[in-house]
Amino acid sequence: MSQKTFAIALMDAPYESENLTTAFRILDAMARRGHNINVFAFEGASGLAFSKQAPHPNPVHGKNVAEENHPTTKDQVTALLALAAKSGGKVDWVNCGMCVDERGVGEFVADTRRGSPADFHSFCEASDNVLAIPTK
Amino acid sequence: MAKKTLNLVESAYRAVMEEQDDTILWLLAAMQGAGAEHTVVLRGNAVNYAVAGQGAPGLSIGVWKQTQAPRMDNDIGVERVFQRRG
Repeated sequence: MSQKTFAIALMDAPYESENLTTAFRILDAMARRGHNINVFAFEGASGLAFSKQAPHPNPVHGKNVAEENHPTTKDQVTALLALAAKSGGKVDWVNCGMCVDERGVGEFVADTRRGSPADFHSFCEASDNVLAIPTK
Repeated sequence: MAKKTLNLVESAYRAVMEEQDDTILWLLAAMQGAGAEHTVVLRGNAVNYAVAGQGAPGLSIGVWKQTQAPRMDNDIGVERVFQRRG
């Protein structure tokens, strides 16, 4: 299979919808196949790579932090980047700078970066296909 | 004596993979732990929460794997529901 380049726009905030679970499943499949992935995370999705996310216990489940093993999207982003690198693809993960500023989530996991809608335009121009997953 | 509340839950499976439970049912359970009294009516897609034995495989991305995927039947205490009906 030839290597493709995809542009993905994500809009949903972490921990608020099932859209991001679907998005990460698609991204995982792309990365496993060694494709190049350019992600533009804007509005709520600009918090996906926020590095200060922390897992928490769940008293309703009666579980402590270790037992609950709560997912964080920053770990999912990090895992995606590692998977792509292992498979021979590249991920350029851009966090919309204005979206980041208004939310105070300007600290990112390694190898993601701050950017702007101009990056998304460049991503679209360079891509074989574009997938935008908006908030409903 | 706490006020009793009636909660109609219709939206289903929203963010359950990321939160490992349903956000509204979690809130009600947490409030119940603080002394609240609730009645819950599941309607629409949320009636599926009462299907016993359901589950979802954990999400996996590269080497990262979810180990505590949501169990909605457990979260609503489906066994108790069936006992009441029985």
